[in-house]
Amino acid sequence: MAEMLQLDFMRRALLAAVLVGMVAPVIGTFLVQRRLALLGDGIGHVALTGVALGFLTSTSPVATAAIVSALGAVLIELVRVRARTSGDIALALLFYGGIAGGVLLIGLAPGTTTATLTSYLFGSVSTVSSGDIVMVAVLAALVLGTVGYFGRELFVLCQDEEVARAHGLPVRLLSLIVAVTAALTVVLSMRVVGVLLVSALMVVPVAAAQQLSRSFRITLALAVAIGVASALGGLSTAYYADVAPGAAIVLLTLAVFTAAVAVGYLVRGVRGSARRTRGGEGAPDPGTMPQTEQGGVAP
Amino acid sequence: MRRRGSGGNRTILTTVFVFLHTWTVSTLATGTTAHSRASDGPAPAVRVVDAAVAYDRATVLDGVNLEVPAGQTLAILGPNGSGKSTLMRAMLGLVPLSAGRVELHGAPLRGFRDWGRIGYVPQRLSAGGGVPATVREVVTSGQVARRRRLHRAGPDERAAVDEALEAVDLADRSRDSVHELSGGQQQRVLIARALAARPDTFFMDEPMAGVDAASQRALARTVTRLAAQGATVVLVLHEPGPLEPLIGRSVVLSGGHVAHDGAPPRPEGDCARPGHDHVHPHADAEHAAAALPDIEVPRRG
Repeated sequence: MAEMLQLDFMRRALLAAVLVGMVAPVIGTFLVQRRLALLGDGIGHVALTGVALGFLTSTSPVATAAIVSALGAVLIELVRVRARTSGDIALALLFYGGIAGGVLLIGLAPGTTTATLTSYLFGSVSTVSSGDIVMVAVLAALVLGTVGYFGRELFVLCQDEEVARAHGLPVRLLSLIVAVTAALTVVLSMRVVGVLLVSALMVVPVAAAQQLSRSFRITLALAVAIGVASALGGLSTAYYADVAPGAAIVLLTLAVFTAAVAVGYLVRGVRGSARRTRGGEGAPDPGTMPQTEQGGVAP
Repeated sequence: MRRRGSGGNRTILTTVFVFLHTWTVSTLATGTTAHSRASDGPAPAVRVVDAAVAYDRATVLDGVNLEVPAGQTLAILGPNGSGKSTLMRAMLGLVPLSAGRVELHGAPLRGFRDWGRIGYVPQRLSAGGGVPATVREVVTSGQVARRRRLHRAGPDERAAVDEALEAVDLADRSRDSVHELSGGQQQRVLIARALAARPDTFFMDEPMAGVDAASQRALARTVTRLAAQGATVVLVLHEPGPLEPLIGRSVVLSGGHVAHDGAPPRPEGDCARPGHDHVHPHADAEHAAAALPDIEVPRRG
């Protein structure tokens, strides 16, 4: 551990990973409740066009990705509202447009190939520069600040859009805020886990946390804890075992999810059987119990 | 060519962001001054003028005129598909009007800012993506239009939430997840959420549909209390049921038109006494029905 911390690039990588592990589940909690769990994926595809645009114009790929994916998020939101019936098709078109645009533009940029995109597709946390860290920190502060400021409204919005409207909340504006905040989260996570896996860090910790909680606040806090722990754990694993950090982080969140499902099942089972008469808890439990004990230690 | 393209993009971007920023600032500014507008005049709580609503060219409401004076308890009745839910949703601006207009407390819907006075109880709790939320969290969220930003709940706000929870008999379930509750209990959570902001104008969409006897009692008690406090209550009901004695006026819709507007058919006998709390445990309704013909057992849906 100490050896890992002595390396400059690892210190930067760990910092970036912690920020991402913290921020992604925050916005993810709202996305999951809004049934937009895959929004992060869609924005990730669009972000790729932004990255290529950055290379093409010789500016910061992270900055152009932030702008393009924010615009993409606004577009997705408008499509979602305007064309309800064919919404998913329209989104799909935008996703493919994002990937194709990225590949096309990167080909036009001098001195780059599609291989350049690989570090953005799958993440490349060890090459994070101190400039990137500043960018990631600013974006993280922006996302957390936005969610903190609008938290109550976003909670109502994500519970029920019509109720939000009947409270006089600016529903369209708040929806755009959710979408743009998600876009910024995708961009800040891009270097750590890659655009193809960003959404996992937004959704899986939340899915794990909701197995174990009865409250929105606690789900959010637990999701952040799982996100940070997985980011740190995954990155350390990647360092010692020499595997891809993004993949290690995501697989770790999935392991936590599996454990959380089992623990949640067990807890509900215990609570349920305390109420009911004993005897109904036979069939499914034996298979899940040993898994719980193993998984519980993992994070 | 490329250069010009990206320059153009940036200009568009700047415009979009400036627009968004202005929008945010103006929306939030009007939002925070919402309560400074006083409307104590004789304006009716709701005024619907020549309202029409059409979904995909199919007319759902046509030429509806309705005025709900402040303090009235009004039931909108009618068979399925008569447009009663749509009328309530149109009153709140949840469905766009294809013609006509709606005013709330004297202000046209578009300019209405005093949303803290409105308590909306939707037909059911939306499940959303399944992120858990406690009963208390959901009820507290009803205060969203009144709460100050970045401030924790004050004693007055917490008291309002406690009061709302007690009004619907859910004080002991406040830390449970709303998704663990029965349908009737969830309905009570929605009513408590509307109560939490202490509004004076309520819109309840089929609050009795699929609700158990205990929840019906809690609901009838709440509506009685609200009416006594001078609140305006607009109810969409499939049939009057146990709320019947509380209803001051019934509007019956049929095929998108107002078919009847006036006093509801009054109950007879014991139930007609003023102040009679017309609440029945409906579990044993089969036996009671023969002896007391005026008892109505609300059906689901």
